[in-house]
Amino acid sequence: MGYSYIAPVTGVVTQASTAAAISIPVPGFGDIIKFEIFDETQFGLASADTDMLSAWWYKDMANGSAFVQNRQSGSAAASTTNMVTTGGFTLIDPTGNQLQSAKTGSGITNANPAVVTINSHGYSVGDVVRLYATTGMLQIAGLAFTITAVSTNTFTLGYLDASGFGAAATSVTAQKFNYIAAYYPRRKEITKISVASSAVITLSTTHNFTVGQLVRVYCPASFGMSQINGLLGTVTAISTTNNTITVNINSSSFSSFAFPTSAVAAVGVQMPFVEPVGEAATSPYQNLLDDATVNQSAYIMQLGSNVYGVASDVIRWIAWRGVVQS
Amino acid sequence: MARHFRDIAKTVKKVIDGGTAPVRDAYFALGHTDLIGQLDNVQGFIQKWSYPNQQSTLDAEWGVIANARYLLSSIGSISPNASLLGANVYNIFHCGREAFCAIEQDGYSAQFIYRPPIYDGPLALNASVGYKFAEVPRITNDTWVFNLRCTLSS
Repeated sequence: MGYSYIAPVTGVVTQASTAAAISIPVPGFGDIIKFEIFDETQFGLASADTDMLSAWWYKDMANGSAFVQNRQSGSAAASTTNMVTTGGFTLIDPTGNQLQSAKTGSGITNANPAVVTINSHGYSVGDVVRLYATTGMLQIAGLAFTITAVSTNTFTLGYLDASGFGAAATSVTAQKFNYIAAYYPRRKEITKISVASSAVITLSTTHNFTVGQLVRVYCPASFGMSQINGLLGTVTAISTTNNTITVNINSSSFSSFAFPTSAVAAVGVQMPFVEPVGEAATSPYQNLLDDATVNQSAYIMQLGSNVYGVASDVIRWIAWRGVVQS
Repeated sequence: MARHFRDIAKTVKKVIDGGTAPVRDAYFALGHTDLIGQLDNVQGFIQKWSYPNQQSTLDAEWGVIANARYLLSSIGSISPNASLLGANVYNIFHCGREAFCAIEQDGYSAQFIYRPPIYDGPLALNASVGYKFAEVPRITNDTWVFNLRCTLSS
Protein backbone atom coordinates (compact mmCIF):
# COMPACT_ATOMS: atom_id res chain seq x y z
CA MET A 1 0.00 0.00 0.00
CA GLY A 2 1.29 3.42 -0.87
CA TYR A 3 0.32 6.86 0.29
CA SER A 4 0.10 10.09 -1.63
CA TYR A 5 0.16 13.16 0.57
CA ILE A 6 -1.73 16.12 -0.81
CA ALA A 7 -2.35 18.71 1.85
CA PRO A 8 -1.16 18.76 5.45
CA VAL A 9 -3.21 20.65 8.01
CA THR A 10 -1.70 21.68 11.31
CA GLY A 11 -2.66 23.26 14.60
CA VAL A 12 -1.89 23.42 18.30
CA VAL A 13 -3.89 22.24 21.31
CA THR A 14 -3.13 22.64 24.99
CA GLN A 15 -3.75 19.87 27.46
CA ALA A 16 -5.99 20.81 30.41
CA SER A 17 -4.70 21.31 33.95
CA THR A 18 -5.93 17.77 34.62
CA ALA A 19 -4.83 15.65 31.69
CA ALA A 20 -7.76 14.16 29.82
CA ALA A 21 -8.69 12.92 26.35
CA ILE A 22 -8.39 15.61 23.68
CA SER A 23 -10.67 15.89 20.66
CA ILE A 24 -9.25 17.70 17.64
CA PRO A 25 -11.61 18.65 14.81
CA VAL A 26 -9.77 18.00 11.56
CA PRO A 27 -10.84 19.79 8.41
CA GLY A 28 -11.56 17.67 5.41
CA PHE A 29 -13.69 14.74 4.49
CA GLY A 30 -12.04 11.87 6.26
CA ASP A 31 -9.25 11.66 3.74
CA ILE A 32 -6.68 11.65 6.54
CA ILE A 33 -3.97 9.14 5.82
CA LYS A 34 -1.53 10.04 8.57
CA PHE A 35 -1.93 11.93 11.82
CA GLU A 36 1.00 12.90 13.98
CA ILE A 37 1.59 14.99 17.08
CA PHE A 38 4.60 16.58 18.74
CA ASP A 39 4.60 17.56 22.40
CA GLU A 40 6.23 20.98 22.25
CA THR A 41 6.42 21.21 26.03
CA GLN A 42 8.32 17.95 26.49
CA PHE A 43 10.77 18.24 23.62
CA GLY A 44 14.26 18.98 24.91
CA LEU A 45 13.44 18.42 28.57
CA ALA A 46 15.79 16.14 30.50
CA SER A 47 13.18 14.72 32.82
CA ALA A 48 13.12 11.46 34.72
CA ASP A 49 9.60 10.90 33.39
CA THR A 50 9.21 8.89 30.23
CA ASP A 51 6.66 11.31 28.81
CA MET A 52 5.44 11.19 25.25
CA LEU A 53 7.43 13.28 22.80
CA SER A 54 5.61 12.45 19.61
CA ALA A 55 3.17 9.92 18.20
CA TRP A 56 1.65 9.05 14.84
CA TRP A 57 -1.07 6.94 13.25
CA TYR A 58 -1.82 5.71 9.74
CA LYS A 59 -5.23 5.30 8.19
CA ASP A 60 -5.05 1.53 7.94
CA MET A 61 -4.23 1.16 11.66
CA ALA A 62 -6.98 0.28 14.10
CA ASN A 63 -8.62 3.00 16.14
CA GLY A 64 -6.97 3.32 19.52
CA SER A 65 -3.54 2.34 18.26
CA ALA A 66 -0.47 4.52 17.71
CA PHE A 67 3.27 4.58 17.36
CA VAL A 68 4.52 6.47 20.40
CA GLN A 69 7.93 7.99 20.97
CA ASN A 70 8.71 8.37 24.67
CA ARG A 71 11.64 10.06 26.38
CA GLN A 72 14.28 7.83 27.88
CA SER A 73 14.35 8.58 31.57
CA GLY A 74 16.71 11.42 32.38
CA SER A 75 17.67 12.14 28.80
CA ALA A 76 16.95 15.28 26.80
CA ALA A 77 17.79 13.61 23.53
CA ALA A 78 17.29 9.83 23.66
CA SER A 79 13.92 8.22 23.20
CA THR A 80 12.23 4.90 22.62
CA THR A 81 9.44 4.11 20.19
CA ASN A 82 6.65 1.70 20.96
CA MET A 83 3.41 0.69 19.39
CA VAL A 84 0.27 0.77 21.51
CA THR A 85 -3.08 -0.75 20.65
CA THR A 86 -5.16 1.16 23.19
CA GLY A 87 -5.13 4.75 24.35
CA GLY A 88 -3.79 5.97 21.01
CA PHE A 89 -5.60 7.77 18.20
CA THR A 90 -9.29 7.32 17.38
CA LEU A 91 -10.73 8.91 14.25
CA ILE A 92 -14.43 9.74 14.68
CA ASP A 93 -16.63 10.01 11.62
CA PRO A 94 -19.33 12.71 12.00
CA THR A 95 -21.56 10.79 9.62
CA GLY A 96 -21.30 7.66 11.71
CA ASN A 97 -22.93 6.66 14.97
CA GLN A 98 -23.29 9.60 17.30
CA LEU A 99 -23.33 7.41 20.39
CA GLN A 100 -20.95 4.76 21.58
CA SER A 101 -22.13 1.42 22.94
CA ALA A 102 -24.33 1.35 26.04
CA LYS A 103 -23.04 0.71 29.53
CA THR A 104 -25.29 -0.22 32.41
CA GLY A 105 -24.75 0.96 35.95
CA SER A 106 -26.18 0.55 39.39
CA GLY A 107 -27.45 4.02 40.15
CA ILE A 108 -27.34 7.80 40.40
CA THR A 109 -27.18 9.56 43.75
CA ASN A 110 -29.76 12.20 44.65
CA ALA A 111 -27.05 14.58 45.79
CA ASN A 112 -25.36 17.79 44.75
CA PRO A 113 -23.68 17.03 42.47
CA ALA A 114 -25.20 13.77 41.31
CA VAL A 115 -22.81 10.83 40.96
CA VAL A 116 -23.35 7.91 38.59
CA THR A 117 -21.99 4.44 39.32
CA ILE A 118 -20.99 2.30 36.35
CA ASN A 119 -18.18 -0.14 36.95
CA SER A 120 -15.12 0.39 34.73
CA HIS A 121 -16.94 3.02 32.64
CA GLY A 122 -13.76 4.33 31.04
CA TYR A 123 -15.10 7.86 30.60
CA SER A 124 -13.05 11.02 31.05
CA VAL A 125 -13.70 14.52 32.35
CA GLY A 126 -15.36 16.54 29.62
CA ASP A 127 -17.07 13.57 27.98
CA VAL A 128 -20.77 13.98 27.29
CA VAL A 129 -23.03 11.02 28.08
CA ARG A 130 -26.71 10.41 27.60
CA LEU A 131 -28.44 8.73 30.55
CA TYR A 132 -31.66 6.80 30.13
CA ALA A 133 -33.63 3.73 31.22
CA THR A 134 -33.18 4.72 34.82
CA THR A 135 -35.02 2.98 37.61
CA GLY A 136 -36.34 6.00 39.47
CA MET A 137 -35.08 9.52 38.85
CA LEU A 138 -36.98 9.71 35.59
CA GLN A 139 -36.70 13.50 35.75
CA ILE A 140 -33.38 13.26 33.98
CA ALA A 141 -33.88 10.12 31.88
CA GLY A 142 -33.04 10.87 28.27
CA LEU A 143 -30.87 13.89 29.08
CA ALA A 144 -27.21 14.40 28.20
CA PHE A 145 -24.66 15.56 30.75
CA THR A 146 -21.05 16.65 30.74
CA ILE A 147 -18.86 14.65 33.12
CA THR A 148 -16.95 16.85 35.57
CA ALA A 149 -15.04 14.28 37.64
CA VAL A 150 -14.30 10.57 37.40
CA SER A 151 -13.10 7.61 39.40
CA THR A 152 -12.74 4.08 38.12
CA ASN A 153 -16.35 3.13 38.82
CA THR A 154 -18.12 6.49 39.15
CA PHE A 155 -18.45 9.79 37.37
CA THR A 156 -19.85 13.11 38.53
CA LEU A 157 -22.53 15.22 36.89
CA GLY A 158 -21.25 18.54 38.19
CA TYR A 159 -24.01 20.57 36.58
CA LEU A 160 -26.88 18.62 38.16
CA ASP A 161 -28.07 19.33 41.69
CA ALA A 162 -30.20 16.25 42.40
CA SER A 163 -30.45 16.86 46.14
CA GLY A 164 -34.12 17.77 45.80
CA PHE A 165 -35.02 14.52 44.08
CA GLY A 166 -37.15 12.14 46.11
CA ALA A 167 -34.93 9.11 45.69
CA ALA A 168 -31.79 7.93 43.99
CA ALA A 169 -31.87 5.94 40.78
CA THR A 170 -31.04 2.29 41.23
CA SER A 171 -30.04 1.54 37.67
CA VAL A 172 -29.03 3.54 34.63
CA THR A 173 -27.83 3.11 31.08
CA ALA A 174 -25.23 5.50 29.66
CA GLN A 175 -23.89 6.15 26.20
CA LYS A 176 -21.05 8.49 25.42
CA PHE A 177 -21.35 10.91 22.52
CA ASN A 178 -18.74 10.57 19.82
CA TYR A 179 -19.61 14.09 18.78
CA ILE A 180 -22.30 16.47 19.92
CA ALA A 181 -23.92 18.02 16.90
CA ALA A 182 -23.14 19.31 13.47
CA TYR A 183 -24.65 22.74 13.88
CA TYR A 184 -23.84 25.77 15.99
CA PRO A 185 -25.47 27.47 17.84
CA ARG A 186 -27.38 24.79 19.62
CA ARG A 187 -30.08 24.50 22.22
CA LYS A 188 -29.05 23.31 25.66
CA GLU A 189 -31.12 21.64 28.35
CA ILE A 190 -31.51 23.42 31.69
CA THR A 191 -30.87 21.91 35.12
CA LYS A 192 -31.39 25.06 37.21
CA ILE A 193 -32.57 28.66 37.00
CA SER A 194 -31.96 31.06 39.85
CA VAL A 195 -34.50 33.50 41.23
CA ALA A 196 -32.62 36.76 40.79
CA SER A 197 -32.69 40.15 39.12
CA SER A 198 -30.54 38.61 36.40
CA ALA A 199 -31.39 34.93 36.15
CA VAL A 200 -28.50 32.49 36.17
CA ILE A 201 -29.20 29.38 34.13
CA THR A 202 -27.26 26.15 34.59
CA LEU A 203 -27.03 23.86 31.57
CA SER A 204 -26.54 20.11 31.56
CA THR A 205 -23.82 19.98 28.91
CA THR A 206 -20.94 22.31 28.24
CA HIS A 207 -22.29 25.36 26.48
CA ASN A 208 -20.59 27.59 23.96
CA PHE A 209 -22.73 30.68 24.39
CA THR A 210 -21.03 34.04 24.33
CA VAL A 211 -21.87 37.34 25.98
CA GLY A 212 -24.20 39.33 23.77
CA GLN A 213 -26.11 36.41 22.29
CA LEU A 214 -29.87 36.53 22.33
CA VAL A 215 -31.56 33.40 23.64
CA ARG A 216 -35.09 32.27 24.32
CA VAL A 217 -35.86 30.29 27.47
CA TYR A 218 -38.39 27.47 27.44
CA CYS A 219 -39.56 26.17 30.81
CA PRO A 220 -42.70 24.03 30.98
CA ALA A 221 -45.02 24.45 33.95
CA SER A 222 -43.96 21.07 35.33
CA PHE A 223 -40.57 22.64 36.15
CA GLY A 224 -42.04 25.40 38.29
CA MET A 225 -40.77 28.64 36.82
CA SER A 226 -43.37 28.83 34.08
CA GLN A 227 -43.23 32.66 34.06
CA ILE A 228 -39.92 32.54 32.25
CA ASN A 229 -41.27 30.31 29.51
CA GLY A 230 -40.86 31.91 26.09
CA LEU A 231 -38.97 34.98 27.30
CA LEU A 232 -36.07 36.44 25.36
CA GLY A 233 -32.89 37.34 27.14
CA THR A 234 -29.44 38.57 26.26
CA VAL A 235 -26.50 36.69 27.71
CA THR A 236 -24.69 39.15 29.98
CA ALA A 237 -22.17 36.79 31.55
CA ILE A 238 -21.03 33.19 31.33
CA SER A 239 -19.25 30.82 33.66
CA THR A 240 -17.30 27.95 32.24
CA THR A 241 -16.64 26.66 35.76
CA ASN A 242 -20.29 26.34 36.69
CA ASN A 243 -21.49 25.96 33.09
CA THR A 244 -23.96 28.81 33.49
CA ILE A 245 -25.17 31.77 31.53
CA THR A 246 -26.55 34.93 33.09
CA VAL A 247 -29.37 36.58 31.17
CA ASN A 248 -31.02 39.97 31.56
CA ILE A 249 -34.32 38.44 32.66
CA ASN A 250 -35.54 39.46 36.11
CA SER A 251 -36.84 36.28 37.72
CA SER A 252 -37.11 37.77 41.21
CA SER A 253 -40.86 37.43 41.32
CA PHE A 254 -41.01 34.11 39.51
CA SER A 255 -41.79 30.73 41.05
CA SER A 256 -38.76 28.64 41.89
CA PHE A 257 -37.34 26.25 39.33
CA ALA A 258 -37.74 22.64 40.42
CA PHE A 259 -37.65 19.30 38.66
CA PRO A 260 -40.96 17.40 38.66
CA THR A 261 -41.16 14.18 40.62
CA SER A 262 -40.10 10.96 39.01
CA ALA A 263 -43.73 9.85 38.90
CA VAL A 264 -44.75 12.98 36.98
CA ALA A 265 -41.83 12.56 34.59
CA ALA A 266 -42.85 8.95 33.96
CA VAL A 267 -45.96 10.20 32.22
CA GLY A 268 -43.81 12.34 29.94
CA VAL A 269 -42.62 15.92 30.29
CA GLN A 270 -41.00 18.40 27.96
CA MET A 271 -37.54 19.35 29.23
CA PRO A 272 -36.65 23.01 29.77
CA PHE A 273 -34.05 24.41 27.42
CA VAL A 274 -32.33 27.53 26.18
CA GLU A 275 -32.21 28.18 22.49
CA PRO A 276 -30.17 30.75 20.60
CA VAL A 277 -32.59 32.58 18.38
CA GLY A 278 -30.52 33.46 15.40
CA GLU A 279 -29.64 37.05 16.07
CA ALA A 280 -27.31 38.91 18.34
CA ALA A 281 -28.78 41.74 20.35
CA THR A 282 -25.86 43.84 21.43
CA SER A 283 -22.50 45.11 20.34
CA PRO A 284 -19.96 43.75 19.47
CA TYR A 285 -21.99 40.95 17.94
CA GLN A 286 -24.75 42.99 16.41
CA ASN A 287 -24.85 42.61 12.67
CA LEU A 288 -22.14 40.02 12.79
CA LEU A 289 -22.76 36.38 12.06
CA ASP A 290 -22.08 35.11 15.54
CA ASP A 291 -25.47 33.47 15.71
CA ALA A 292 -25.60 32.24 12.17
CA THR A 293 -26.39 28.58 11.76
CA VAL A 294 -23.03 27.04 11.05
CA ASN A 295 -22.38 23.48 10.10
CA GLN A 296 -19.44 22.57 12.30
CA SER A 297 -19.31 18.91 11.53
CA ALA A 298 -15.80 17.66 11.17
CA TYR A 299 -13.84 14.51 11.49
CA ILE A 300 -12.47 14.37 14.99
CA MET A 301 -9.20 12.83 16.07
CA GLN A 302 -9.34 11.79 19.70
CA LEU A 303 -6.10 11.54 21.62
CA GLY A 304 -6.20 8.78 24.22
CA SER A 305 -4.25 8.33 27.42
CA ASN A 306 -1.03 7.14 25.76
CA VAL A 307 -0.76 10.16 23.47
CA TYR A 308 -2.46 13.11 25.14
CA GLY A 309 0.60 14.26 27.08
CA VAL A 310 0.61 15.53 30.63
CA ALA A 311 -1.13 18.50 32.24
CA SER A 312 -0.80 21.82 30.40
CA ASP A 313 1.37 20.39 27.62
CA VAL A 314 1.27 22.21 24.30
CA ILE A 315 0.79 19.70 21.52
CA ARG A 316 1.23 20.40 17.82
CA TRP A 317 -0.74 18.19 15.48
CA ILE A 318 -0.40 17.58 11.77
CA ALA A 319 -3.05 15.81 9.70
CA TRP A 320 -1.80 14.57 6.36
CA ARG A 321 -4.61 14.36 3.85
CA GLY A 322 -4.55 12.52 0.59
CA VAL A 323 -5.30 9.21 -1.02
CA VAL A 324 -4.16 5.68 -0.37
CA GLN A 325 -2.78 3.92 -3.40
CA SER A 326 -3.04 0.18 -3.09
CA MET B 1 -51.56 23.68 14.40
CA ALA B 2 -51.89 27.26 15.62
CA ARG B 3 -51.57 29.86 12.89
CA HIS B 4 -49.00 32.18 14.42
CA PHE B 5 -46.98 32.51 11.25
CA ARG B 6 -47.54 32.51 7.50
CA ASP B 7 -48.09 29.39 5.44
CA ILE B 8 -45.60 28.38 2.79
CA ALA B 9 -47.60 26.11 0.51
CA LYS B 10 -50.83 27.28 -1.05
CA THR B 11 -54.12 25.46 -1.30
CA VAL B 12 -54.41 22.62 -3.78
CA LYS B 13 -58.01 22.82 -4.93
CA LYS B 14 -60.35 19.91 -5.14
CA VAL B 15 -61.01 18.49 -8.57
CA ILE B 16 -63.69 16.11 -9.72
CA ASP B 17 -61.60 13.02 -9.62
CA GLY B 18 -62.17 9.96 -7.52
CA GLY B 19 -59.69 9.28 -4.72
CA THR B 20 -58.24 12.77 -4.35
CA ALA B 21 -58.62 15.30 -1.56
CA PRO B 22 -58.05 19.06 -1.46
CA VAL B 23 -55.10 20.36 0.54
CA ARG B 24 -55.30 23.61 2.47
CA ASP B 25 -52.60 26.26 2.86
CA ALA B 26 -49.85 24.62 4.83
CA TYR B 27 -46.56 24.92 6.63
CA PHE B 28 -43.63 22.71 5.81
CA ALA B 29 -42.73 20.02 8.32
CA LEU B 30 -39.19 18.70 7.91
CA GLY B 31 -38.61 15.19 9.23
CA HIS B 32 -36.78 11.92 8.81
CA THR B 33 -37.77 9.14 6.42
CA ASP B 34 -38.05 6.75 9.39
CA LEU B 35 -41.38 8.49 10.03
CA ILE B 36 -42.94 7.21 6.82
CA GLY B 37 -44.63 4.21 8.42
CA GLN B 38 -45.94 6.34 11.25
CA LEU B 39 -47.32 9.06 9.00
CA ASP B 40 -49.07 6.55 6.78
CA ASN B 41 -51.06 5.38 9.79
CA VAL B 42 -52.07 8.79 11.11
CA GLN B 43 -55.80 9.37 10.84
CA GLY B 44 -56.47 12.07 8.27
CA PHE B 45 -53.11 11.76 6.56
CA ILE B 46 -53.34 12.46 2.83
CA GLN B 47 -50.68 10.87 0.66
CA LYS B 48 -48.95 13.11 -1.84
CA TRP B 49 -50.34 11.02 -4.67
CA SER B 50 -53.85 11.81 -3.48
CA TYR B 51 -53.45 15.54 -3.99
CA PRO B 52 -55.73 16.88 -6.72
CA ASN B 53 -52.65 17.79 -8.75
CA GLN B 54 -48.91 17.30 -8.47
CA GLN B 55 -47.79 20.61 -9.87
CA SER B 56 -47.03 22.26 -6.54
CA THR B 57 -45.53 19.27 -4.76
CA LEU B 58 -41.88 18.83 -3.93
CA ASP B 59 -39.69 15.80 -4.51
CA ALA B 60 -39.20 15.28 -0.78
CA GLU B 61 -42.88 15.61 0.02
CA TRP B 62 -44.66 12.62 1.54
CA GLY B 63 -48.12 13.96 2.35
CA VAL B 64 -50.13 16.32 4.49
CA ILE B 65 -51.80 16.27 7.89
CA ALA B 66 -54.14 19.22 8.44
CA ASN B 67 -51.99 22.27 7.64
CA ALA B 68 -48.57 20.62 7.72
CA ARG B 69 -47.05 19.18 4.57
CA TYR B 70 -44.32 16.68 5.43
CA LEU B 71 -40.98 16.78 3.65
CA LEU B 72 -38.85 13.80 4.57
CA SER B 73 -35.17 13.10 4.19
CA SER B 74 -32.81 10.34 5.25
CA ILE B 75 -30.71 13.06 6.91
CA GLY B 76 -33.65 14.39 8.93
CA SER B 77 -32.95 15.22 12.54
CA ILE B 78 -32.77 12.49 15.17
CA SER B 79 -31.77 12.86 18.80
CA PRO B 80 -30.36 9.38 19.37
CA ASN B 81 -31.69 7.44 22.37
CA ALA B 82 -33.11 10.62 23.90
CA SER B 83 -36.38 9.28 25.30
CA LEU B 84 -36.91 8.13 28.87
CA LEU B 85 -36.39 4.55 27.78
CA GLY B 86 -33.64 5.30 25.31
CA ALA B 87 -35.58 5.33 22.05
CA ASN B 88 -34.61 7.67 19.24
CA VAL B 89 -36.44 10.99 19.35
CA TYR B 90 -37.33 12.43 15.95
CA ASN B 91 -37.31 16.19 15.54
CA ILE B 92 -39.89 17.48 13.07
CA PHE B 93 -39.34 21.16 12.36
CA HIS B 94 -42.47 23.03 11.34
CA CYS B 95 -41.58 26.19 9.50
CA GLY B 96 -43.54 29.24 8.44
CA ARG B 97 -42.78 31.51 5.54
CA GLU B 98 -39.53 33.47 5.96
CA ALA B 99 -38.76 31.79 9.26
CA PHE B 100 -35.23 31.22 8.01
CA CYS B 101 -33.18 32.36 5.07
CA ALA B 102 -29.79 32.19 3.46
CA ILE B 103 -27.86 35.44 3.56
CA GLU B 104 -25.30 36.10 0.86
CA GLN B 105 -22.35 38.13 2.02
CA ASP B 106 -21.43 41.34 0.29
CA GLY B 107 -18.04 41.79 -1.26
CA TYR B 108 -17.23 38.14 -1.66
CA SER B 109 -17.78 36.42 -4.96
CA ALA B 110 -17.99 32.72 -5.48
CA GLN B 111 -14.72 31.12 -6.48
CA PHE B 112 -14.16 28.07 -8.58
CA ILE B 113 -10.88 26.43 -7.70
CA TYR B 114 -8.91 23.99 -9.80
CA ARG B 115 -5.50 22.62 -8.88
CA PRO B 116 -3.93 20.76 -11.80
CA PRO B 117 -2.60 17.27 -11.13
CA ILE B 118 0.94 18.23 -12.06
CA TYR B 119 1.30 19.82 -8.61
CA ASP B 120 0.69 16.45 -7.00
CA GLY B 121 3.90 14.92 -8.26
CA PRO B 122 5.66 13.75 -11.39
CA LEU B 123 3.00 11.12 -12.03
CA ALA B 124 0.22 13.76 -11.90
CA LEU B 125 -2.16 11.43 -10.14
CA ASN B 126 -4.43 13.78 -8.21
CA ALA B 127 -6.21 16.95 -9.20
CA SER B 128 -8.39 19.06 -6.92
CA VAL B 129 -11.60 20.77 -7.93
CA GLY B 130 -13.86 22.77 -5.67
CA TYR B 131 -15.67 25.98 -5.05
CA LYS B 132 -16.23 28.32 -2.18
CA PHE B 133 -18.69 31.07 -1.55
CA ALA B 134 -19.93 33.15 1.36
CA GLU B 135 -23.49 32.36 2.28
CA VAL B 136 -24.91 31.96 5.73
CA PRO B 137 -28.14 30.20 6.72
CA ARG B 138 -29.87 31.99 9.53
CA ILE B 139 -33.11 31.81 11.50
CA THR B 140 -34.93 35.08 10.97
CA ASN B 141 -37.73 34.49 13.46
CA ASP B 142 -37.46 31.61 15.88
CA THR B 143 -41.12 31.83 16.86
CA TRP B 144 -42.05 30.83 13.33
CA VAL B 145 -40.30 27.48 13.74
CA PHE B 146 -41.31 24.85 16.22
CA ASN B 147 -40.06 21.39 16.87
CA LEU B 148 -42.46 18.48 17.22
CA ARG B 149 -40.56 15.68 18.95
CA CYS B 150 -41.76 12.09 18.81
CA THR B 151 -40.66 8.49 18.98
CA LEU B 152 -41.77 5.65 16.75
CA SER B 153 -44.60 3.49 17.96
CA SER B 154 -43.79 -0.19 18.18
